[in-house]
Amino acid sequence: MFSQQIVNGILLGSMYALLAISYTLVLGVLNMLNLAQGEILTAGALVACAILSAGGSMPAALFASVLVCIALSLLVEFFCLRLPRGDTQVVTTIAMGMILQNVYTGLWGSESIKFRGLSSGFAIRISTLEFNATQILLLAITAALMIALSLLIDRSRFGREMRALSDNRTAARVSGVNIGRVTVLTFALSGLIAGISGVMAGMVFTSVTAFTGGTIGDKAMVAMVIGGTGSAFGAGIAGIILGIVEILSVGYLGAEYREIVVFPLLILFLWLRPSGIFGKGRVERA
Amino acid sequence: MKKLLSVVMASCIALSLCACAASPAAPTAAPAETESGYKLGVAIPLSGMGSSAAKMELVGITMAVNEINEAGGIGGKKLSFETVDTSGDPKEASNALRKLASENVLAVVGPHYTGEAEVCYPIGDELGLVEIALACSMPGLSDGYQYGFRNIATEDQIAEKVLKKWVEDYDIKTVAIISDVKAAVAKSIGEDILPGMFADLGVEVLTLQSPVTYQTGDVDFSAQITKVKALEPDGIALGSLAGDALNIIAKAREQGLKQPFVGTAPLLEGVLDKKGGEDTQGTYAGSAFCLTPESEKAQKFIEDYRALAPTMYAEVSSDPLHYCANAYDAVYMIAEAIEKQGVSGAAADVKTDRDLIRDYLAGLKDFDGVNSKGFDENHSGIKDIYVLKIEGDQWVVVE
Amino acid sequence: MNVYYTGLFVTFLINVLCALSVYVILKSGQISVGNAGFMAVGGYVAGILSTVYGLGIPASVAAGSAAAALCGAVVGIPALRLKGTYLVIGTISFTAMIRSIAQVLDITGGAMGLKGMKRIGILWIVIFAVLVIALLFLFEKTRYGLDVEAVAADSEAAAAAGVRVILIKVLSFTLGAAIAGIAGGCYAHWTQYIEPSDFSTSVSTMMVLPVILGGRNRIAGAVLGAAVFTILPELLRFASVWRMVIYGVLVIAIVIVKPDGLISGRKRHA
Repeated sequence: MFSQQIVNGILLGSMYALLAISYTLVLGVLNMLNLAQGEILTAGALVACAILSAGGSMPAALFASVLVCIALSLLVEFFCLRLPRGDTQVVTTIAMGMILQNVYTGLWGSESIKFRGLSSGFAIRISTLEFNATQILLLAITAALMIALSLLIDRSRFGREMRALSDNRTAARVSGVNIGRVTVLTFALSGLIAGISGVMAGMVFTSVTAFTGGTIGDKAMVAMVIGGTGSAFGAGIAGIILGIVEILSVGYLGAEYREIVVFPLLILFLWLRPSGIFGKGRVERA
Repeated sequence: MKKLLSVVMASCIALSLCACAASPAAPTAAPAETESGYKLGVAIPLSGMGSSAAKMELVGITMAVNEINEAGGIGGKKLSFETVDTSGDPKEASNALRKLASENVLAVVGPHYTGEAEVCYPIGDELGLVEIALACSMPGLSDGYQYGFRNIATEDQIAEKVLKKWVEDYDIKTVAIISDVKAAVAKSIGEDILPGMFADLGVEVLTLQSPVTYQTGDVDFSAQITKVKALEPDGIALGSLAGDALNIIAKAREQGLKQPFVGTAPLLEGVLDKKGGEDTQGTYAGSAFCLTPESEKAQKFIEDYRALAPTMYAEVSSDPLHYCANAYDAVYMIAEAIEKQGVSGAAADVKTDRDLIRDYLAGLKDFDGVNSKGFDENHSGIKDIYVLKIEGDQWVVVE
Repeated sequence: MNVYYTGLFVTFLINVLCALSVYVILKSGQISVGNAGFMAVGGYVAGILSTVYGLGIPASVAAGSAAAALCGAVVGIPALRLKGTYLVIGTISFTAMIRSIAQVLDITGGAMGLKGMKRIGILWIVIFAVLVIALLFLFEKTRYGLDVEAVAADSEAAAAAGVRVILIKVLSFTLGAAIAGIAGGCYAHWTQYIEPSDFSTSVSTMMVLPVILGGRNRIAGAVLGAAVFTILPELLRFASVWRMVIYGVLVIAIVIVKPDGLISGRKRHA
C-alpha cells in the first residue's frame, strides 16, 4: 500500500507541479505574483467540462480550454499588470481572481460537476501498482512540460530574453529586448499551461467546481517558492514532493492533517532560503 | 482637526449610505398580514450546497400552501410564506432566521442542514420562534430546545434498519468505513453511529484502529481509496454527504473496487441515483419516504409533485425525496396548529401566537401526514423507515 | 432596531476593523495578505475563553486580541526579510497554517468549527471600533506616526535619519494583528459559530481591497472602503453572485484610475 500511496502522491503532485510552473514563469520573469492563476485554471477545467458534456471530443475540449486560459491570462496582463501602478498589482490580481470565481459561480453554480474523462480500460501494471490511462497521461504531460519549458528557458532565444528580463529589467531594455512582447508571450505561455492543467485536473479529480483552481493554487504557490522562482524544473519537483507529503499525511494521519505539514514547510523556506531549491532569480530583501 | 473632521465625515457618509441603501434593499418592516392571513418563514439553501434538495422542499411547501389556500385557507384566512436563501451556510442561516423573525412570521420551515440547525436552534429559542428543520438527522441535535423541531428521523434509527438489511443481503462479515470529518452529520454517522452498529451486528470494522477520513468537498480521494483497497473489506460504509459519496464511489470503481456501498439518509440528497450510473448500482441507504408508498395520500403527493415540480424548476428531479415530504407535512402541521390553537395572526399577538404553535407541535403525536406522524419527546420526527437501494436510476424499496 | 439594519451595521463595523488592520501594516510599507489568520487567532482564542472557561465576552475579545498581537509580532520579525511578492506569499501561507492548525485541534472544534458562543452586545463592538479609530488617530499624531510614514517612503533613508526601522515594522504588524484579533473576537461572538474556512485565503485577500479602494493613506479611507465593501453587496443584492463581480471590477477601475484610493492625498505636515 505504501508504494501505491507514493504513486497517488506523485499524481496529485503533478497537478501542483503544472500550476506551480505557470506561477513561476510569471513571477520569475516579470516579478509579478498572479493571484488569479488558480481561477484561470478553473476556467480551463469548466470550459473543457462543458464541451465534453455537450458531446465534444477531448482534443476539442483541450483546445477550447487552452484558448480560454490564454485569453484570460492576456486579460490579466492588460488590466492587472500593464495599466495599474507597480505596487497595486497584488490587489488587481486579487480582484480579478474574485471576479472570475464569482463569474463561475454565477454561470455554473457552486456544486460539483462531473467531468467526463478518458474512459478506456487501458492500464499498465508494475508489480502491485496499477496506472490507468488518465494517470499515465498526467505523468507524461507533466514530465514533457517540465522538460520542454526548461529547454525553452535555457536554450531558446525567447528563453534568453526571459532570463534577461528577470535578471535586470533596465539592462534588458537597453540591450534590445522587447519587454512588451516578452511580457505578453510569457503570460500567454502561462495561460497555455493553465489550460492544460485545467483539463488534467478535471480528468484526475473526475469532477470540477468553481473552486477547484483556488485550492490547487494555494499549494502550487508553496511548490513554486520551495522549488525556486524561475525554475520550471524546481517547481515541478517541489510540486510532486508536496503531493506525496499531502497524500501520506492524509493516508497515515487522517484528513485533518492534509495541510499541516505543507505551510510550515513553506514558511521555513521563506525564512531560510527564499530563493528555493533551484532558484535562479534574486530575491528582494527588505 | 482636519483629520478628525474627515474621519467623522467619512463615518457619516458611511452610515448614511447604510441608511439609504437599506431602504430599497431592506425588507419591509411591516408586520405580517394583520387581518388578512398567516405568514410563515422558509429558510433553506436554495443556492450552494444542498440546493437540489432545497428546491424540492420549496416545491413541497408551495404545494402545501396552495392546497390549503384553495381549500379556503385556515378559518378563511390565507396562508403565505417568505423565503430566504441560506446558501447552506450556518451564518447565512442565522441571518435568515433573524430576518424572518423581524418580519413577524409565525413559524419557520427550515433550516435544512445539521450545521445550520446547530446555530439556528439556540437563536430560535432566544427569539421564541418555532423552526421545523428538514434534513438534520444527527442524533441528539434537537434535544433540550424549546422551539427547535425537526421533521426527520434520526440517523441512528435509520442506520439500525438499513445496516441490518445490507449486512444480510450482501453477507457482509468485514466492513471499512470512510468518514467525513467536517460535515457534522456525516462525521457523527461515520465515527459514532456506524462502528457501534456494525459491532452489534457482529461485523468486523477493519478501519477502527486507523480511520479512513476526508473533508467535505475534497477533490482527491486516492489516499483513502488505496487504504481501503489494502484492507479488502466485504463492503464499504460511508459517513458522507451525497456529493462526496458520488465522487468516492466513482473513484473506488475506477481503482477497481467492486464492493457494495451503504450509507444513511444524507446519501439520498443530490443525485447519487441519477448520476451514479453503473458505479452506484446496489448501494443501500434509508429514509422515511419511498416512491411506492401504500397510503393514498402519499401517492397523490407524488403525483402532484410530478405535476408541479417541472413548472417551478427546470432541473429538479421528477422523483420527490423525503425532504420534500418533510417540508410538505411541516406546513400542514403548522397549519393544523394555527387552526386548533386559534392563532390570531395579528401583529400584536405575534409572541403568543408563536408560543401557541410551539405548544401544539410539542404535543403532536398522531399527525396524519404523507410521511410524518408528529414529534417525539426530543422534538425529532416520528416516522416509518424504508430501506432503499439504487436500481437503475432510482431509489427503490428493498423487500 | 430592526434586525436587518443591526446586522448590516455590525458587518460594517467588523469590516472597518479588518480594513484598519490591513491599513496599519500597509502604512509601514508592508503589504499583509494574511490578516484573516490574525482574525482567526483572535476569534478562536476569544471563543474558547468565553465558552470553555466562562470568561466574559469583552474580556475574551481583548484576550483574543492580545494573542493575535503576539502572532503579529512573531510574523513581523521574519517578515522583515521579505518584500513585495514574497511577503504576500508569506502572509498567505501564515493564514493557511493557522487554518490547518485550527482543523486538527480538538479545542477549536476541528474541521467542524467552534460554536456555543453567547452573542456580543452591539454596543461593545461599537466601543471597540471607536477605541481603535481613536487610538490610531492619536498614534498618527505622535512621533511614531511620522516614523512609520518615513519607513514606508524610504526605509534606508529613514534608518540613516535615526528611525528604528525594525521596531516600527514589527510594531506595525503587531498593531495590525491586534486590531484583526478584535475583529475576529467580535465576529466569533456575533455569528456565534466559526470554522476554519471562515478565514480562507479569499477572506484575507478581500480584506486588503477596502483599504486600497478607499484610500490607503488615511484612516478615513479605510473606513470609507469598508463602508463601500459592506453596502455595495446589499445594494446589488438582486444581482446575487454578480454583485461581487461588479465589486471586483470597481476595485480594478479605481486602482487604475486613482491608485491611492478614493480618499487620497497624504497628510500635510508642517
